[in-house]
Amino acid sequence: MPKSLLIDITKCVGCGECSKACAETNNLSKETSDTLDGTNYTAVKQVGDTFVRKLCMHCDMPTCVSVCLVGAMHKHDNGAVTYDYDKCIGCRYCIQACPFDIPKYEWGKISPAVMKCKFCVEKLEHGKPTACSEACQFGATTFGEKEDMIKEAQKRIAENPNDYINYIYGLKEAGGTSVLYISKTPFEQLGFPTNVSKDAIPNLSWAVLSKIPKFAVVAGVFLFGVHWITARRIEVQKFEKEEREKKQRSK
Amino acid sequence: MKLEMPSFTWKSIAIFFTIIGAIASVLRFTMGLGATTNLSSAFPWGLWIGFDFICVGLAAAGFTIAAITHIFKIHRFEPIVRPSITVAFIGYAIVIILLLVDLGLPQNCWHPLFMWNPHSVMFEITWCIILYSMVLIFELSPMIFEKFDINNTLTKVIKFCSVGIVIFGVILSTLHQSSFGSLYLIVPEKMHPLWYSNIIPILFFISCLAAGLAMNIVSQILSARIYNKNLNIQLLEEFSSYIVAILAVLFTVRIQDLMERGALGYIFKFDYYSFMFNLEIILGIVLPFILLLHRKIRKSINGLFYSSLIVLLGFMANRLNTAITSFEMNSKSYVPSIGEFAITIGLVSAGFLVFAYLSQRFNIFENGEEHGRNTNGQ
Repeated sequence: MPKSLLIDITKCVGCGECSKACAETNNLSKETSDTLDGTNYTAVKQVGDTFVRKLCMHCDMPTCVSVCLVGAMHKHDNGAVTYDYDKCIGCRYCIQACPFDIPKYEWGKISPAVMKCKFCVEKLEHGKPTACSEACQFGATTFGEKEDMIKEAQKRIAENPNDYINYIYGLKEAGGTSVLYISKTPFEQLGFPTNVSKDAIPNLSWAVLSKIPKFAVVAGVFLFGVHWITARRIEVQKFEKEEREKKQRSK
Repeated sequence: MKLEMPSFTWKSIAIFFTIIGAIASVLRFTMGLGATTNLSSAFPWGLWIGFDFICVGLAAAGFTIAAITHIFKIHRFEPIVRPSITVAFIGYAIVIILLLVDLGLPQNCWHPLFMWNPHSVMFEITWCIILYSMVLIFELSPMIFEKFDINNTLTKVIKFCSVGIVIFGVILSTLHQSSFGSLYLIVPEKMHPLWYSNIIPILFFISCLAAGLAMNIVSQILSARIYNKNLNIQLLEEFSSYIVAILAVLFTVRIQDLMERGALGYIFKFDYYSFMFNLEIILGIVLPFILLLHRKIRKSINGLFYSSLIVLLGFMANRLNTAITSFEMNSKSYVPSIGEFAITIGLVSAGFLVFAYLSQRFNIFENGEEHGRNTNGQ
């Protein structure tokens, strides 16, 4: 069953424990940062008096998975979207295509990797929650089944309508994501991309790509046809010319 | 031609830039992408990707002429087939090298051969590059066989398959030219509305036809000047009339697309984007269209040369605008580094040198294939 992280922006105090736990679990440099910069998987940024944590949204229909030509990005059944360095060729299409601007590149390295949250996939496989949700003491990050997290988010909004805007960010974005946000401040003001398509984004290219086989066959037949007709016409012209010459000679 | 360029001058300049480019490439591979380019996670694709689009577009010189001569059998274009295929081959070689330079992990460049994801436009592009380069080698092979006087089963098989190869090449090129546009279908909210369009693959394809023909005119005139070859101006004039028609179609489709998406207003905003858009449209479409409508210009070598050059400049502006300008929204900015420029210019210079070398060693201009002319006069 797909798992989910519910991030309640109203409860975050910006302590940065999630970043530290994340860095420790994934052997990243220990500094906490307010931006995703290719050294971390998550970052907590202060916007006004609220703290916004950024991490991979783990889309249900991930754009990065669809654009990676070698399949280095993989969507797991438990919701995680992970990156395989051993497959990657470094084309950076995932970075270009991600609607949430999450993947970052290790530009400083000779053999760089794409850096993004991996939903602590090994921990999930052993039935454990993500490191960040374990570390959070304030209930800002909760881990659980996706269904339950959606219900929990709806419950919090319904019980305290004054503390939340009536919107779950991630429920519809890019066709749905495994990370869900609720907030008091509108998401646009917090720097979230709010113009993200509500449909699965990979369809945009698949609409064209899926037509290629048909196109190739039709174009092939058409071009062969043109070739056949023109070649035949030239042949006929040549034949007629020869005939005429023969007639002239016989006269 | 009267204007005779001393060949050592341009060659020494080209060698100079090639060496600079080679040094820059060594630095790129020893110091990494971050140290030598201005690329960033906000701007993961820059000049090199834009330039790949340009090179592939100019390489459209090859498939357009191959289709006209071998499929539509307008055999008077036969003398241009070899130079244009050679130009296309060099264009693709530049693209492949530039892609390897651009890849973060070039040591893994063989992965796409075995690890497939047909849902990725990049997958389509990679296979188009691989297969079309092979097609180009096949299309050039008679020239090589001729040079070394090879005549065996292989040459016969290739000759027998030649029409099939040309058709395969035309399909691959159509896919490849348009797929560079398809790359951007996935980022609707990141691109400026003047450039994002759901018909961007079609726009890329139409514009590459004009660019390919213009590239033929430019390369024919340039090589005629450098090598004192005869120039068949009637053929070039015919090309230019095709260009006029294609530009008219391109303009109509482009404007219609903007209207349909309700983005026409952005043209008249007089900001940075509208300036770049107008530059691209006026340079690449309107100006050459007006110029080439004049018989006098079409009949003069200089007129043809400069009008075609303008078409190419406008085409380059379009591809660079798509790859760079349209992504500069949301206060992101990117100016290519000196290293990026050096490698790009170095590769182009190397391309010129290779073309010069090939045209000296091989029979590019005097076409050995006489069969076409015999059958259809002219």
